[in-house]
Amino acid sequence: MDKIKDQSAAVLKYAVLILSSLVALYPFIWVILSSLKDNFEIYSNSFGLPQAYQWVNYYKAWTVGKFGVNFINSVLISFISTGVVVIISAMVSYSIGRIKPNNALYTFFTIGIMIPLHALLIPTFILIKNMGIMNTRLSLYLVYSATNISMSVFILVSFIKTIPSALDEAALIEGMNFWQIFTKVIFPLSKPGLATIGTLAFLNCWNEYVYAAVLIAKPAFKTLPLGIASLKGQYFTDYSLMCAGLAITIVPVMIFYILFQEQVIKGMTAGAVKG
Amino acid sequence: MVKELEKLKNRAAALFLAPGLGLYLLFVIGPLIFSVYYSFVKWNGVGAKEFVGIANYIKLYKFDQFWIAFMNNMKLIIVSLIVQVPSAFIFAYLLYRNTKGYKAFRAILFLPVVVSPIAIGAMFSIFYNSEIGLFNVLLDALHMGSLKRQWLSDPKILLYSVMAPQVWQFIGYHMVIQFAAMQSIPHQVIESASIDGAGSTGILFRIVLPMMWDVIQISIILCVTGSLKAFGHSWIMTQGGPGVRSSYLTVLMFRMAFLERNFGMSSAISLNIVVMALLFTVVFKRMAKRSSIEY
Repeated sequence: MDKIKDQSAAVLKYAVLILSSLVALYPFIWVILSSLKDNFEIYSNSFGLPQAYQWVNYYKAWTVGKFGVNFINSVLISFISTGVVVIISAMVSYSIGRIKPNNALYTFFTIGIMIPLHALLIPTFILIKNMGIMNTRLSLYLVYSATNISMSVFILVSFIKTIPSALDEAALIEGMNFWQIFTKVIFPLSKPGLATIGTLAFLNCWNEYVYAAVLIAKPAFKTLPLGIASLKGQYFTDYSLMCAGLAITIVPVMIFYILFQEQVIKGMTAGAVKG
Repeated sequence: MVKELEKLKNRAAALFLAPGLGLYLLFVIGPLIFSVYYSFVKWNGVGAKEFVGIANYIKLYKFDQFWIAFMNNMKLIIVSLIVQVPSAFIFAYLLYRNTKGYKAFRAILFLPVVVSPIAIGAMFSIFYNSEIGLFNVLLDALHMGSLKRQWLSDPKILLYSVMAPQVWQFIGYHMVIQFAAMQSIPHQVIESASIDGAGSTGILFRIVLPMMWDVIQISIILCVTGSLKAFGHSWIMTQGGPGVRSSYLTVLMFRMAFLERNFGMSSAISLNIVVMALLFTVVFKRMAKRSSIEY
C-alpha cells in the first residue's frame, strides 16, 4: 500500500516538474521555431516545425532590422565593460580586503547593490551629456563598468579572504611588489570568484536597456535590447522578423548560460544573501 | 622597517583603489546625490534650475497618475508574493526530495531568469496578439475559445497581462535560492526525524518549512524590491499605457523625464522608489528578526 502511495507520489512529482519545465522552456522554443517560418505559417502552423526553413528572416533581421549592427555593439560593449569590471573590482577588492582591510570602504562600495539604477538615470544622462560623450560606446563602457562594481566587490572580497595570507606575505618577503603579488598570486588564485563576477557582469551588460535607451540614439551604436524596442515600434506586424531578432538576442545568452551555468547561478543569486 | 612597509602598503592600497573608486563615485554615488538635489528643483534639463523646495513632492502626492502607478506596483508586489514564493518553494521541495535529474530541472526552471526583460516582454507581446498569439491559438486548440481575450487592450486584464511575464520569468530565481537553503539543512535532522516516525508531510511542515524561514524572508524582500524596480516588461509591451494604466513608478518616472522633460518631478519619483525599497527592507528585517526561531 505504502509502495503504491510512494510510486504515485513520484509520478505526480515528475509530472509537475516536467510540465513546469515545459512552461519555462516552450515560449523560447516557439519563438525560435517561428523565426524560421513566414508570417502566414506562424498563424496557420503555430505549434509545428517549419515546413520550409525561412533562413531569410535572419538575413532580413540582420540587415534591414539592423540586428547585425546591434549584435556587434552588444558584443563589444558587454566584453569590454566586463573586462574593465573584473580588473578594477579585483584591484579594489585586493586593496580593501587584503592590503589594508577596510570595513568602512567595503560597506561604502556595497551599498550600491541596494540602489535601484533608475534613481541614477537622470543625473547620469546629464553627466554624460556634459562630458560630451552622448551616442558613444564609451558612455556605456563607463556606466556599465561603474554600476557593476558594487556586486563584484561584494563577491570578490569574501573570495579573496579565503586565500591564505601566508602566500602573499611569503611573496612580499621574496621581494615581489604589490603589483606582482596582485598579478601573480591574488588574481590567478581568485579565478573562480572572477568567473562568477565576470559572468554576472556580462549578462547584466547584455540585457541592460534603460541606460542604453537614454544614452544612445544613433542607430550605429544601438545594442540588442534597443534593437528589439525599435523593431517592435516599426515592424511589429512582421512577426517572423521580430522572432528572428528575438532569437538573435536570446540564443547567445542561452548558450552562455549552458556553458557557464554554475557561475551564472552563483553570480545572479549572490545578491540574495545581501538582500 | 615596519613603518616603511606600512607606508608602502598605504600607497599600494590607494593606487589599487583609485580607478574603481573614481568610477563608482562618478557614476553611482555622484548621481545618487544629484538625484536628491534634482528632486528639489524645477528643471527641464536645458534651462536654469529653479529651487522649489519640496514642491515637487507635494505636487506628486496630489497627482493621480502617481497613485495609479503606485497601486500598480502594490498589485505587482502582491501577485509576486502570492505566486512566486509558494511556487518556488514547491519546485525547490520537489527537487529536494531525491529527485533524479534535479540539476537538469533546476537549469531549465532558471533559464528565463537570464533573458533580458525587454526580450521577454517583446516575446509576450507576440503571444498576446489576438490573431497569431500563442495564448488565443492555444485556447482555440483546447476548445476553450470563450476564454480568448484582447490581452493587452482589455482594461480589466491589461495590468495582469503585463505582470504575468515578469512573475513567470523570476520564479526560477526564487526556486534556486530556496533550493540552495534546503540543501544546507543537515541530513541528520531529517534522518532522525524519519527514524522517530515523522512522515513526509511532518518533515515538510515541522522541519523544512521552519528551517527555511530565513530564506523565505529573503525571497519576500526580493519580491518587494524587485517589483518596485520593475520596468522593462511594462515599457516594452505597452509603454505603460493607455494613460498610465499599466505603468509602474519607474515607467512613470521614465516618461516624465524623457518624454515630458520634467526632471524635478521625475527625480522625486525615483527618490520615492529608493526610500520605499530601503524602508521596507529595514522594517521587514527588524520585524522578521523578532519572530525568527533560534536553533
